[in-house]
Amino acid sequence: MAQPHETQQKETETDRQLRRFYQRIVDQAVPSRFQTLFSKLREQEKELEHEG
Amino acid sequence: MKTALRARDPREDIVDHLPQMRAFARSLTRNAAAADDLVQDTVVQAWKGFHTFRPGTNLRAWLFAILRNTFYAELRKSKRTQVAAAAPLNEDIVGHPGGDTYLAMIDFERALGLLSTEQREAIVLVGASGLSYDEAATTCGVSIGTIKSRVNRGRTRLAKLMGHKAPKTDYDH
Repeated sequence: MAQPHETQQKETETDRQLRRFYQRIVDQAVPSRFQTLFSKLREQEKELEHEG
Repeated sequence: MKTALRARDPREDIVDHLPQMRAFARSLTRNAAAADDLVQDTVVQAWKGFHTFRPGTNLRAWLFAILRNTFYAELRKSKRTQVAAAAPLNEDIVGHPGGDTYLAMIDFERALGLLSTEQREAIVLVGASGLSYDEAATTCGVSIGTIKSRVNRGRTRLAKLMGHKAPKTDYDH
C-alpha cells in the first residue's frame, strides 16, 4: 500500500479511506485477459521478426 | 541454456504495474469493464512504444501518463462523460452487501465520483498510488502548483462529502 510522503502531514480519515479503497482494487486478481494480451503481443513481434 | 543467457525484456516489467494501472483506470472511468479496456489499450501502446521510456525514470508514472492520455483521448472522441457519470459505482467492491465495510466503500466511491476528474486523478495519484507531486504533475502534464491545488481542493471536498473533519493542513511537499 502506498504510504504518505514524508512531508505529508495530518493524515485524515478521508486519506485513510482513499488508500483503503484504492488498495482493494489493487488487491483484486488481474484478469487473465492480460496474460493473453502479452502472449499475443510477443507472438506478433516474433511474426514480424520472421517476416523482416 | 541459450534462453537463460538472453537479456530479459524490460517490457516484462509492465506486468508488475497492472494492478496499480487497473486501480488508476478505475478511478478515472468509475467502471470495472471500462477500466480493463483502458488498461488493455495502455498496455498495447506501452509495449509498442517502449523505446520512448527513459530507463531510470519511474515506469509507473510513465504508464499512468499513457493511460491518462488514452482515457482523455477516448473521452474526447466518444464524448462519453455522461456514460461515465451514470455508470454503476459498486460493481466490484468486495465484501458482504450490508456490511459496514462494504457500505463505507460504496459511500466513499460515490463521493469520489462527485469530484471533478482532475481532482479525482490528482488525489488518487498523490494520495493513493504513491507518486510524488512532481511525478503526478508530469503524468498529468501540469505544474506542481496545479497538482497541489487539485489535491487540496479534492481532499477538502471529499472530506465534506464524507462528513469527515476537513483537513486543516494541506499535503505539503
